This record gives sequence, C-alpha cells and structure tokens, in this order.
Amino acid sequence: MIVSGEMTVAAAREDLWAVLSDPERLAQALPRAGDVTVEDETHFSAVAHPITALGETRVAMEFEISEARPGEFVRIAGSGSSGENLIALSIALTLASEGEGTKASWQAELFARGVLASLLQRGLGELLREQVDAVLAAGALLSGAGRS
Amino acid sequence: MSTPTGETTYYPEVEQSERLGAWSGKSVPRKEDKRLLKGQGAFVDDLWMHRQGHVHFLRSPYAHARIVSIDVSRAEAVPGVYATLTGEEVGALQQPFFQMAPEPAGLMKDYCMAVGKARYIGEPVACVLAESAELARDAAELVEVVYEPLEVVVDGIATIEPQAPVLHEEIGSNVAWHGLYDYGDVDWALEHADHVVRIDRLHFHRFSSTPLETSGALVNWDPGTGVVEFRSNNQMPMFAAMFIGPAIGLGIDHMQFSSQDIGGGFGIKITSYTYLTALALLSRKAGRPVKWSESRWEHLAASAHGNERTFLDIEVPVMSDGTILGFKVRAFDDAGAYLRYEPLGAVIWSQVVPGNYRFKHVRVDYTETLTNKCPVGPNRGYSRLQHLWLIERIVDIVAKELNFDRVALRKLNYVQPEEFPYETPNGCIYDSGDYPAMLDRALELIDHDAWLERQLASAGTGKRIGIGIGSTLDSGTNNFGQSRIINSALPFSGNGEAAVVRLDLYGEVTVTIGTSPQGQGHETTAAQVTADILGCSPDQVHVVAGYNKAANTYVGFSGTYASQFAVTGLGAVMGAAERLRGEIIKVGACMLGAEESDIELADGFVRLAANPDAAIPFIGIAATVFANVAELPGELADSVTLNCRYVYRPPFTVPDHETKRGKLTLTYASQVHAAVVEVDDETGQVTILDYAAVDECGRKVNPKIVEGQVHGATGHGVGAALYETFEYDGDGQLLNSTFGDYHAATSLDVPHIRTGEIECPSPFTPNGAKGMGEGGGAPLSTIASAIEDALPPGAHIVFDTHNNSERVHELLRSAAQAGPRGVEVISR
Repeated sequence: MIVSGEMTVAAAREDLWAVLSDPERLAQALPRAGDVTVEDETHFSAVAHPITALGETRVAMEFEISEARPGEFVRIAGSGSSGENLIALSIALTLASEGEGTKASWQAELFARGVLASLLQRGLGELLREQVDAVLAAGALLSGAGRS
Repeated sequence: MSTPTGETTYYPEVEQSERLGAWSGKSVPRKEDKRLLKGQGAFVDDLWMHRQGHVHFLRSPYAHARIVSIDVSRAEAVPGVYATLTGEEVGALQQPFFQMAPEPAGLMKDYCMAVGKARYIGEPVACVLAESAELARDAAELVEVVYEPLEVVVDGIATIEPQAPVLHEEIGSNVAWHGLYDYGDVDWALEHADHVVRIDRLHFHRFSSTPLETSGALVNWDPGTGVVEFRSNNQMPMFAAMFIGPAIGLGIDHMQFSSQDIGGGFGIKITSYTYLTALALLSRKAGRPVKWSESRWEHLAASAHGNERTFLDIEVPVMSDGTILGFKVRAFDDAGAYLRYEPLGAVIWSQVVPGNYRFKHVRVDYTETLTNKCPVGPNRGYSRLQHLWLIERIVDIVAKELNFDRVALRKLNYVQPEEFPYETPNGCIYDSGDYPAMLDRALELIDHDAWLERQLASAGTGKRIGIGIGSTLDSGTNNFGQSRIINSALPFSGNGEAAVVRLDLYGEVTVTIGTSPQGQGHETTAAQVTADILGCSPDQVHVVAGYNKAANTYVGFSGTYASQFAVTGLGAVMGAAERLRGEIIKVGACMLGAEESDIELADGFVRLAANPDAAIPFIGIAATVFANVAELPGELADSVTLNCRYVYRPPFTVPDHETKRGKLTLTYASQVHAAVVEVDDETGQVTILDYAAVDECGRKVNPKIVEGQVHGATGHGVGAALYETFEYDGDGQLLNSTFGDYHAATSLDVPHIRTGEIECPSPFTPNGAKGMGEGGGAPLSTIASAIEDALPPGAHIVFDTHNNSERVHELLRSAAQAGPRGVEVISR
C-alpha cells in the first residue's frame, strides 16, 4: 500500500530536517510511543501503541534512518510486529521552504500482515497519515518553532 | 445382519401418522420467542462460572510459516495472567484429530493449534488465559513468536502443481481427495448428441455464514471427576465429541455438552471442536474454567468458510429437441488448510447429481485440494449449492446458446411429477415433487409476462432488465454412509435422532430432544406433534430448551444440521409420544374399567370415546403411576414408566464404495426461484426489482417457521450473489474481515420476497415432511441467470457466483470486445 501526503509546518526547513534525521529527537516525535532505545546515529527502536477498532495495539518497531540529504530529504524505514501483526514501512520525506515554514511532502510504502491488515483495509492508510502528520507537527515543536 | 450395498430398490413407503393435524400444519406462535424477544435468552456469552478466566488466541500473521520458537515468559509475568498454552505443548498433549480422508490425506496431523507450522493467517499459535478478556489480549501481544516464512499457495488448482509448496509434508501433496464419479455413459452421449456445449470455466466463490452470535464456549476440566464440561454453541456436539475424545483421551462419558440458545449456526459452528479442544487443554493446565468469545474478525478469518469450487472443461450433450443428456466436468474444491469436515462434506453434492433434471449421463472428475486459506466447513446448502449452481448455469447457457426458451427447456428436462419416487443415475431416490408447477408458480408471482414486456421497453434506456430462474434441491436427512464413498474404512451408514417424552407427577408433558437448535423453532414444532399425538394443547407441552447431554437424550451424531430435524428430530418425538400415548391409554383403560380400544385422548384427558364425561386428566394418570401404584395390577404397573424414549432411524442402506452408488439422503425439498434485476449499463450496478421463492418441503409442520427459513436462506443467497465474498491476496492475507468490507446482506439489501408453495408430502417420512431451510443456494443460480439475461448479445457468460458491480461491468464491456465468451457450441 502506498500512501502519500503533505503538510506545512511552522518550522525552518533545516531545523525540521535536523529533528527527522536525529534518532533521539525523532523517537520523541512519534505519537503514542514508548520504550525508546537509540542504538546509534541511524537506528532506534520504540514500542508504538496505535489505536484501532480493536483498541490500543502494541507494536514493537525498529527504525532506521536509511537515507538523508541535509536540509531536504530523509528516508525512514521501519519494521516490527505485535503478537499477530507484521508491519514494514518506508517513508520518504522531501522538505521545501514555504515562507517561514516548511512544506513536507511524503510518500510511504506500507506492508502489513495479520489482524491489522485484515481489519484496516480501508483504515490503514488513514492511520498512517495521522501518524506522519503527528510526527511532523511534533517535529516542528521539537525544532524550536512555536516555543517563542 | 448386513444390508446389500448399492441396493437400488425403492424405499418402502412408511406408515404415516393419522393423528397429526389438530396442531401440526398450523402457524402456532413460536414458544421460544417469548424469552428471545424479551432479551431473556441464555447464550454462551451470558454464562459464567466461579473462578473462570478469559482466553485470547494469538494468531499467525503468516499464511505459511515454520514456527521457530514461542516465548510466553513476558505474557505469563503480567499480573492477572493465569496460564498460557502453545502449539508446542499441544503437540505433546493432543493426538492429531481423527481424519475422515483415506491415506495419504488421512495422514494429516491436525491439531487444535498450529504445531510446528502455521498454514493460514489467523491460525491459533498460542493462547493466553487471564482475569479479563482485555488483559488476555494485551498479554498475548507480549508473546514472542519467531517465524520462518514459507512460500504460500492460495489457488485451489495451482496448488496441485509439482512446484507448489506442500502444506502438509506427511501427505506429500496438496491433494486432499480425488474421485471419479461416472454414471451412465457420458462418452456415448457426447458422441451421439446433436449439439455439444462446451464451457471453459465456472467458479463458485468463497463466502460464509455470519450468525449474529459468533462461536464461544465456557469449558471446565474438573480435576476431581475428570469430566470436562463444554458449555458452548457448537451445533453438533456429538460430532465434536467424536473428534475431541480420541484427541485428548476422553471417553464420551467424560464429556458433558450443553447449550441453550444459539444465535444462528448455518453449519459454521460445527467445526468449532478445534477451539473446544484447546480450551479443554487450557482449563486442565490452569485448573480453572476458561471462557472464550470469538470476535467478528476471528469468526470471519478463522472459523470456517464455505467451499470454493472451480469447474473446468464442462461438456454438455444436447439433442435437437432440447433434451439435455447430462454433462461432464472437472471440479476442484478448495478446502483451505485443513480437513475439518472434509472430504466428507465436500462430496455431499453427490446427493443431487442431476439436480432437478433427468440427466442420465454424468461424469464428475472431482478433486479436493489444500491451500493456505481458512479451512472450510459446513455452510448452509453445504456442497450441494456449488453443484446445483453449476447445473443451473449449464441449463441457462444451453438455452441461450441453442436458442431454447429457458422455461420450456427446464420443463422438458425436469424430473416430471409422475416419475416420483425418482431414481438418479447414482442410486439416490427423489421422494416427491412437482418442479414444473413450482416454476409456473414462481413466474406467476413475479408476473413474468409483464416483465418480458418491460424488458423489451427498457431497450436503450441504459437500464437493462434481466429475468432469472433457479431450480434447486435441499436434500435432507443425510446419510453419513456417503463417508464410505470417500473412505471404505469409515463405518458410517446413516444416522438418527433421539427424543424422550414423559408425563410427570402433576400431569406435565415434557419433551427432551438430542438436537441443538439455533433458531429453527424446535420447541414449537416438537410441542405441536406431541400435542397432536397426546390430544392436548402445545401449551401443555414443555419442550426443554437447548441441548444438554446429561439431562436430555441423545444418539451418536445428535445435533442440528443437514436439514433433518423435521424428519429425524420430529420422527423421534413422534415415536416417543406414541409410546407414551400407549402407556397412558393402558393406565386409563384400567382406571376406567374399559378396553383400550374404547379410550381416546382429547383436551388433556383420557376418556371414553363413547362417554366423554368419563374422563381422567393427565395428572390422574401420572399420580396413579407414580404415587398410587398399588391400585394398578402388578403386570400393568411393571410395564409403564410414563417416560418413553424413541430413536428414529431413517431407512438407509449402505452405499457402494466402488460404484459410488447409493441412497445418500432421505428427502428432497425443492426450490424454484425467479428474479427480475436491473443492470445499470454504465456502472454494472445490479438492483433486484422483484423476487419470488417457491418452496416445496412436503407437509409443513409450522408454515410460518417454514416461511421464515425461506426468507433466511434467500437473504443469505442474495448476499452471497451480490455482496459477500472472501478475497485473499497472493500472500494469503484475507483482505476483508469486517462487516465494513465483508458486506453481509441486511434488510436494506434483501428485496421483498414473494413466497409461494407447493405441497408434495414425502412418502418416506412418518409425518410427510421434508427437511428444509438450506435452500440449495437458489438465489445464487437465480441472480446469475437474471444478470446473464440482462447482458447484451456477445457478452461473456456469467462465470462466477459472485457478481458485484465491477464484475458485471466487465461482463457488459465484454460484448464490445469480441473476445472469447467462455463457451462454444459444436453442432452436428
């Protein structure tokens, strides 16, 4: 499943990129995530708790910042599982300045197996879109925008 | 002692009760509705036991994978978690389930949870027992399973190719069963026919039943007595016992099954025995009762699906006058990952080899295969609806390709009313029927001639009108002897049912039956026939609700399935009531100082026929027998119990394994449906404009209940034809397992149904009734027929049972593409 979107946030492009390419701060931007472990400068793991029709689902994910071009692009790959779900995704984010903010255009390839894939044929894309938007919004805050 | 195999003489007609009629045949309000409509039913999720825990099954996200390891330690460490059970433990605690298939498929090692390998998405690999269902689910997410993914096969035909991954190594291939059914002389017919119609491929899609209540159970393994109590909504408990007992070392006497109200079954709840087995093992391990309620996702993804079947290389010999001589076909039935009721169930179609027609020459080269999909199981119309859909497609396609009128062609080829009892090419006996009259009635109900005019008038409007016909059979009172056709070593040859009718101390008439109703109204119809025989009102008859192995009576295959209650269940009740009637008359005659022949039972009294004022109420009879017995002569007192059991046994013989001939079922209810659809030329949207269902099920015990069953079966079929389908992707991922994606038909989708009836009492049953309620999948045939009638000239034939807008749109466009139409005619 390929999902795409774009969002403009009130953060400078370089500042937002710095958050998205930093495992420590990127992990903080993940919504409803905990048990974060940063392994090195491109790898980290976290346990996400997305809310679906089943209620809160626990998904242990491992992430890699697999590609980064300073100030303009970052690709994040993730894979993980819960007891009866498998999820793998790759998100490419392209950043462009828009006024004083940044327009983030993104495209994700999502692979899911198990209960979630079966239950969320119509909802999985939207769920991912919500997660990415939440990361970008949190990333903007973490970059310092809006603090003043 | 032994009965000749393959005997082809007709059944002896049975003596039919003359006592039925005061209450039987009337639409008596359903006794069970009083509690159900007031929310006072007792369903499995309403049940509770002290110290019970709740179970969550952890299921495989892979369609085919080796299980490398399962670590439950983190789950077990969660406060409130009582126990876990893994496939590895199951492998040590359980013997593989008994298989009905002969070797090599009979070598299959099927367990209640995946052992070593998972073979479909949703297969249980472990389960967690906790103090709440929510905690069990959360803890299950902490179970760590390491899988080694394997290649997946989901195509029911490609799975037998040499390069396909083998699901069960012990079998060595993905062929579950193969048999050649060859009756008459098809080669001769094809050689001598004036026309041969060849159809490339027809496909019957995978769908299911969607009972309001999903499966569930409360199971307790009592460590003191060793008795395992199964309070469940399994609809065929004694069949479940046959699998569970040997698998975990329990005698039938150590398994107690019960249920009261069941929220629909349709066959799907028969194969829940795998879950019951896992729950029993978990209860024993945890030392406490365990409760499981299946979620809708679990039900749709991992309970049981209806059989998917593909028909290839169909050849139909037809004479110039329209006589269809028969057909030959290669059929592939996709059983999914395990054989939970297979291949026994999948060959039930052989009860209806020629459908409603006089086909003499039929050859079916039949193969059942295994794929990485949810296992199949009984589903309303089990196995017959696939075959009957094939036959109806054949008849419609022959009519269209050879320019015969569809109505006239059917009437020409139908089994005629005067030919009953009618012997089919494989030795089955159709008991009674009048298919031409049913067709006339169905067409009359929809006002066929008027729709023909409107069809002509609709040309060029973009709204195409099509008229469809479907004629099907509902073979009931099934003979498990067909198991010998698939496996000569299976010693089954017919089944029965048991009932007890008793008179209690205060004159109460109480009935217990071995059946497990799921909405069929057994309490009502059993009360009706009992009241007729005992000369009282149904209100005076208490039919114990539900199934209870300890408290009620039962026989080996007790349960509710295969359209047989009206014959086996009520046959047992009638037999027991007659015995009780005989005892009451004996005692009454003695007390009144009269001959038994002078006695009649009426209005709840035993009385002299010549002097009704000389009467004793039932309480007087019961009180004398139970509390004042010294007043009776010793010989009489010794001979009456007022507690009478009867086992009804259908008059079956043993089918022949080699020739695959035999009487495979007792009764043949029939359905002829007619539908009018409107097909939107641009979108392919199908709208049902009119629908008629004519049912013939012998003598009706309760017409209102029959009509309800007709409505239910028709709605189920309409849903499958237009909305309900299971779609898997190439990785074996089920893509639709919610009611958002798997659209079960609702009242908004099912059209107004005009119902009609023809009554042809069965000469083979004690009450003239026939089992009914499965409907033969008539809507699937009827709607396919109507859609095809609406298509423009040159369009591809309707080749699938499921015709959503997308598929119909493709069919509409095919007319302009001048490509293959899926059919060719060779005329001599």
